[in-house]
Amino acid sequence: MKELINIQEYIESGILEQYAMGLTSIEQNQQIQEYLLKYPVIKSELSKIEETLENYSKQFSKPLSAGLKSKIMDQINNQSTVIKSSGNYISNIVRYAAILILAASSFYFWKLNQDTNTNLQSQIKQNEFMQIQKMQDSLALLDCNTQLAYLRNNNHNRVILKGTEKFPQAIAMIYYDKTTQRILLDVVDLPKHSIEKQYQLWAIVDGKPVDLGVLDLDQTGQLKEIKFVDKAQAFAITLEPKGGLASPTMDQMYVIGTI
Amino acid sequence: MKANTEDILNQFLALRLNKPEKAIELLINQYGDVLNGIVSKILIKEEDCEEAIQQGFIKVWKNLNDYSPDKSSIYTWLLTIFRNTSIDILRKESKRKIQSLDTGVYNDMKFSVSTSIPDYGLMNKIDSLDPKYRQLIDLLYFQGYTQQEVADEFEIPIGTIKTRISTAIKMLRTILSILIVLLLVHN
Repeated sequence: MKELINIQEYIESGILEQYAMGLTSIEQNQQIQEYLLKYPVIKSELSKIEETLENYSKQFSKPLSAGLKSKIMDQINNQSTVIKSSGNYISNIVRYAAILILAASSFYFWKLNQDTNTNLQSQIKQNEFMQIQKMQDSLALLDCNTQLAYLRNNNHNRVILKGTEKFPQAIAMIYYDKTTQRILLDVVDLPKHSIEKQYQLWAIVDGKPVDLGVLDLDQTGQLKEIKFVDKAQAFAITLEPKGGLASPTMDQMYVIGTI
Repeated sequence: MKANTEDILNQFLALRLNKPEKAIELLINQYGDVLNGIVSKILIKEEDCEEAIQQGFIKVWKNLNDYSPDKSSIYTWLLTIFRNTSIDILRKESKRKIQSLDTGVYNDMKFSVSTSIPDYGLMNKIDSLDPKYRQLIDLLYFQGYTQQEVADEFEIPIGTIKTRISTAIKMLRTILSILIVLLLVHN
């Protein structure tokens, strides 16, 4: 069956929540699983729902006793030995020798392939991670040089606002000086946004976000003095509709850094 | 936290191929406590809970290759197995009955960003989720009742139940994202 589905409507229909909770029928499951393979957006939406439910479940956790854990492991280890030692009879060996050799060799090549794939995947991941890290480090270094004068002042507490998982390339700096009660912001690198949007700076004080106003992107590379807040625990920048909002939009958080 | 779930998944998939016993050990360490909590929601007697945990992990062990990351998270898969195992044990002993809803607590949805810093069991502070949503998740998700059973018991249309499930999860998602930020800040 070929069809075009409206992904947004599909997500909003609530079917994925039902699926994650095990409330959908076998027929529905088949269709959902087809969509999961076909549409990565649907898959990622499901993962978020599952993650939410998993986190919600954690509050009901009850520690498993060490005794029970080892009991289960003993049972499993026993069963696997039984499976492994079940080919002991000579007649069996003769009968199954050919099959075993065939199976072993196909397993060997299959495993070889799997291992190579896994290795490759982790290498790629590692590589990407290192590239991002390198970029952030060099940006941080660049910034250190240009702002040397400020760093010479020992009263400044420098906070690197690193990119969040969603926006790893973003970076900004805060110079926080308690003695002179000044805060300077340096937007090192934030992606360009559309004209209907504006970046907004937040301080986290007592676990609550405090609005520090919207930013103009043409101030990149310049230090900008911002309102002083006492007892800030962290700073973050989000992308909001022009003019800013009263509270931050969490999934639009570009950078965050703690003091 | 995201990276963590992903790490566990990758570790699990690798171990499943080569060292299935180690894969089970990983699952016990990562999910044993939370599954124990779920099992205890369905079964009252301590020995029944132990039985369910044991049977559950043996089932997982025997069906390790049934799990597909394309279809669900590891946790969703495990929860299904342990919930069904517990219900089977319960059925042997008695019939289940839904506990009556305290209708006095039907307030409008209310939850506020907690001003205190959360601890590591992120969701521990979420008793501000409306009781009607909490009970719905409890019955359908943890205890495995069908939507029809809940609809009949409480005389709520199935459509309303479906809507409430979506609303409940959306609320949980918002709470969770705020808690994660607060946790980051705290660290």
